[in-house]
Amino acid sequence: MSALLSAEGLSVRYRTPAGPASVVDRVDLSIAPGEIFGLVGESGCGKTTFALAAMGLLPADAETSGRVVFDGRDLLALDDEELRRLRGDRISMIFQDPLTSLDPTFPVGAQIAEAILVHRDVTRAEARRRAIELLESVGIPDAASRYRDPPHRFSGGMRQRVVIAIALANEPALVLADEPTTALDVRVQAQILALLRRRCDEHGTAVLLVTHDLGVVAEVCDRVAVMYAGRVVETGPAAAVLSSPAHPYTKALLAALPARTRQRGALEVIAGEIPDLVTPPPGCRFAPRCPVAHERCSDVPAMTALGDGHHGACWLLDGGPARAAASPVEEDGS
Amino acid sequence: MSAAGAATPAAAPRRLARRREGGTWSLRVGAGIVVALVLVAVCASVLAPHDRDAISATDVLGAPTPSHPLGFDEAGRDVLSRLLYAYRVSLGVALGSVGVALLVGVPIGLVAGFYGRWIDLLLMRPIDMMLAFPALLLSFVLIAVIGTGVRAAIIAIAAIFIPVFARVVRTAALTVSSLAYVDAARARGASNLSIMLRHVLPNAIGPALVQASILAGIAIQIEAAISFVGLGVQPPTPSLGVMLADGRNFLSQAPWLEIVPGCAIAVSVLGFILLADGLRGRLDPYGVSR
Amino acid sequence: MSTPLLEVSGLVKRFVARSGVGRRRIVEAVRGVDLTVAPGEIVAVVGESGSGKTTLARCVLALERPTAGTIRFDGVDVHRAGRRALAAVRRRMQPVFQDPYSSLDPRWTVDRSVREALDVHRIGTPAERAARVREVLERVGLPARFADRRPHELSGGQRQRVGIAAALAPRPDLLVADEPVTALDVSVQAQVLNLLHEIQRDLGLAILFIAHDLSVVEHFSDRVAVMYQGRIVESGATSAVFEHPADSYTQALLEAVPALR
Repeated sequence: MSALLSAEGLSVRYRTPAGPASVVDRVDLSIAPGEIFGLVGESGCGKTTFALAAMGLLPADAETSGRVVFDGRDLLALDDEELRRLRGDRISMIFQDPLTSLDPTFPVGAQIAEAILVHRDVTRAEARRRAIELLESVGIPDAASRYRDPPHRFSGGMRQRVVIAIALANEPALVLADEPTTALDVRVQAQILALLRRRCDEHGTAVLLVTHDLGVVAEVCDRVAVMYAGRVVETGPAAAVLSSPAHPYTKALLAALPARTRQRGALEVIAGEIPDLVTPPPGCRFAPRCPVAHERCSDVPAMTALGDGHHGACWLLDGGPARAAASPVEEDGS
Repeated sequence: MSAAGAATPAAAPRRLARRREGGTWSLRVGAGIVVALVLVAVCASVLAPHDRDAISATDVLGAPTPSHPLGFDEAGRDVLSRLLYAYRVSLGVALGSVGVALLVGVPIGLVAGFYGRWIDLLLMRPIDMMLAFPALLLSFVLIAVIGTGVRAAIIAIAAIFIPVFARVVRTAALTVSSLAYVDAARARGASNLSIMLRHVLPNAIGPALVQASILAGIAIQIEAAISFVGLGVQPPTPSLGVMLADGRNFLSQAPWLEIVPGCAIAVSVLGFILLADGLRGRLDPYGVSR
Repeated sequence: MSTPLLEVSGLVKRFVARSGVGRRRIVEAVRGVDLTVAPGEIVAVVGESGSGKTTLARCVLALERPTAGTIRFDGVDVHRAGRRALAAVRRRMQPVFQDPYSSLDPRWTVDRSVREALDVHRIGTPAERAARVREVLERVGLPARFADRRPHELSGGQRQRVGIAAALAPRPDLLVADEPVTALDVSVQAQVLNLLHEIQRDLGLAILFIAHDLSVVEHFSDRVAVMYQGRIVESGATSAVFEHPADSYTQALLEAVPALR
C-alpha cells in the first residue's frame, strides 16, 4: 500500500521580528489513495502551513526542510513551473472562504472551464460541456443556465460547491481542503461534507481535510492526525482516535467540547496558552499545559505504536497499552 | 483557478513583511529632513549670515565665495540668507495650508463617515465637486478673488486640500464606524458626539496624518508654482517660488540662482514624501491615503 | 409569575437593500418575533446565517430601530423611551460581541474599555471606577496588570474576557451576547463558556445568547428559540426542544450537527 502523499520530517520556519518561529516541526504523515485524511488542531497549530507547504504556496521567506513526496517526487524540490503543472491537475486546493476564492467578475462556468483548459488539451466547447457536468455533479440545480451566473448570485454554500467543482475539474488524485465548511451553516456543511465523501468513494480521490472541528472529522474522515504547536501528537483511524484518544491533548480537546458533557459549567478547560513558537518548550510542546506531565517530558517524545495504525507521541504511552490505560485523564461523559 | 485562489494567503504575509521593512528607514530619513527644514525655517534669522535684503550693486550676480557660499542674486543679495528666509515663508505656507485644511476637512469627513446616508451625501457632494476642479485652476480662481500674498496663498492652497482630507477621513471613519467597538459604545449609552471624538477620530486620523505629510510636499510645489507666475508670495518677500522666478532670467550667467531654490524644493518634497511613506505603515493600515 | 425582564413583541425589521443598478429590494430580516427573558434566565436564540438572529439582538440593544413591534425592558419601551429612561435601560443591559478583534477599541487600554459604561453613566467616583475595573478583571480571570495593556497584546480569548468584563462593570441585569464564543478555539470556548456560566450563577444575570452552534446552546441555556428566515419556528425548554423537536427545521438542524459519538 504505497502512500499517495507522504510528508517526511517536514519543518517550516517563518521569520518574525522576534526571531525564527518553528511553525511546523518534523511532521511525518502519509495519505493513502482514496482516503479522507483529517488534519485537526486549533488556530496556530501549523495545519494550514502544512497544507500550504505541500502545495508550494508558502511565502518566499519561509524556510522549509524535509520532504513531501507525491507521485514519487519531492514537492518541495520542484520549481514553480512544475508545481503549476501539478496544481489544479493532480493536486488541487479548496480554501475556507468561497467569496475570495472565486473571481467576482467572471461567470462561474467560465472559471471552471478555464481550470480545465489550463491543464487539458480540449476545445472550448468540450470544456464547457464538462463544466456543466461538474456543476450538476456538485449539486447545483439548473446547471446549464447557472453556468453564466457570476459568483455573487450564489449563496455561500453554492459558491463553495463551485469551488469544489473547480477543484475536481481535472480529476485530481488529491484535494487539499483547508476549513472548507467553517464559513458555512450547519446544514450546508453537512451537504458539502457528504458531497466530498461521495466524490471520494466514486472517484477514488483522496482528501487532506484541514479543520479545527472534531465533529467534521468524526463525520467524514477515515484517518486523522492531531496537531499541536507545529507537531503531530496523535494519528490513526478517526474512529479510534476519537473514541479512545491516547494523547493528553487529544483527550483534553475532546473533553472541552460542549456536546460531550451533559452538566453545565463542567467543561474541561485546558489551562494556559499555546507556546511561543520562537522559543518553544524543549521536549514535548504540550508539557507546560499537560495535567500529567513529568520529568521525561523535557525530551521530545517519539511516536509510539498503539496498534491498528494508531500512534501517539507521549511518554506515557511508551510503556505500552498498560501505561495508557493507567493515565488518569479519562473523560467519558456517560 | 484553484491556483488563483491559492495566491491570496501566500501573498499576504509577503506583502505585510515588505511594508514594515521599508517603513523604518523612510520614517527616519524623512522625519530627519523635515525636522531639519523646520529648524532651519524657525531659526532663519539666527542662521542667516547676512541681511537678506541688503542690496549691493557691486555684487550683482556674483559667484559663490567662502563668506557667501551660494553666491549673490540679481540685486546683489546673499543667496544663502535669502534661501533661509525663503524656506521660512514656503514652509509656513505649506504647513499653514495643510493645517487649515485639516481643521476644516477632518470634521467634515468625520461627520460624513460616521453618520453616513443622507448626511454623507449632503456633505460629500460639494466636496466631490471641489475635487473635480483642477487644483491649480481652483487656486488661481481663489487668488483672483482674494488677492495675492502669503495669506492668500495659504487659503488658496488649503482650499485644494480640504476635500482631500475630507475624503480620506470619511473613508477611514466609515470603516471604523462599522466596527463592533463603536456598536458596543453606543449600546452602553455613549452619545454620538462622544463616540465620534473618542473612538472614531483617534482611529481614523492616521491616514489623514499620512496624507498631511504628502500634501505638505505638494504644497511646497504649488506655492513655488503660483509664486513663480507672480500670483503667490510677492517680492521682495523671498519664497522658494519667488527665488525661482527671480533667477530664471539669469540661467547662463548665474545658474546657481535657479539650481539652489530648485534643489531646495526637491529636498523638501522628498523629505515629506519619505515621512509619509514611513508613517503609512503605522498609521494607515487600510491604505486609505493617496 | 414575575414580569419578564425582556419582552419582545411582534418585532418586525425591514431593510432596504440596493442590489445592482438602482434596484431597491426590501429585506425582511425579522418577521414578527415574540420572545421573553425572565430575570436570571439564559435564553438562547439559534439560527443559521440570514435567520435574523443578529438583527434581533441589535434591535434589543437599540442599535437598530424596529419597523414594527415593541421591545420592553423591565416594562420600559426601549424605542419610545426618552433619553433618561433609555440611558437607564442601557446601563442595565450590556452587550457582548462576537469578534474579539473588533469589539475593543485598539487605541484604548483595557482599563479604559472596561470602564466605558461607568464613565458614560458617571457611576461612582474615579477611584471607585478604578477599583471596580480591577474587581471585574479579576472576576473574568485576568490579572490586574492587564489593565494597562492594549488589545493587540492580548489573545482572542483574553480579549473576549475583557469584553465580558466591560459588560459586567455596570452591574447589568441582562447580557445580550451575540455569538460570544463562535470566533474562539475549542479550548478557549470552553474557558469562556465556563466563565459565563459561573458569572450567571453567582450574579443571577439573565443572558440572551445568540448562537449558531447547537451543541453550545444545549450545554448552556435554559430555554431556546430556533429562528429561521426571520421567524421563531420553535421555542421552549432546552431539553424538551432538543429531545423532541416539533418543527421540521429544528429537526433538520439537529440532524445536521456532526455527531461525535
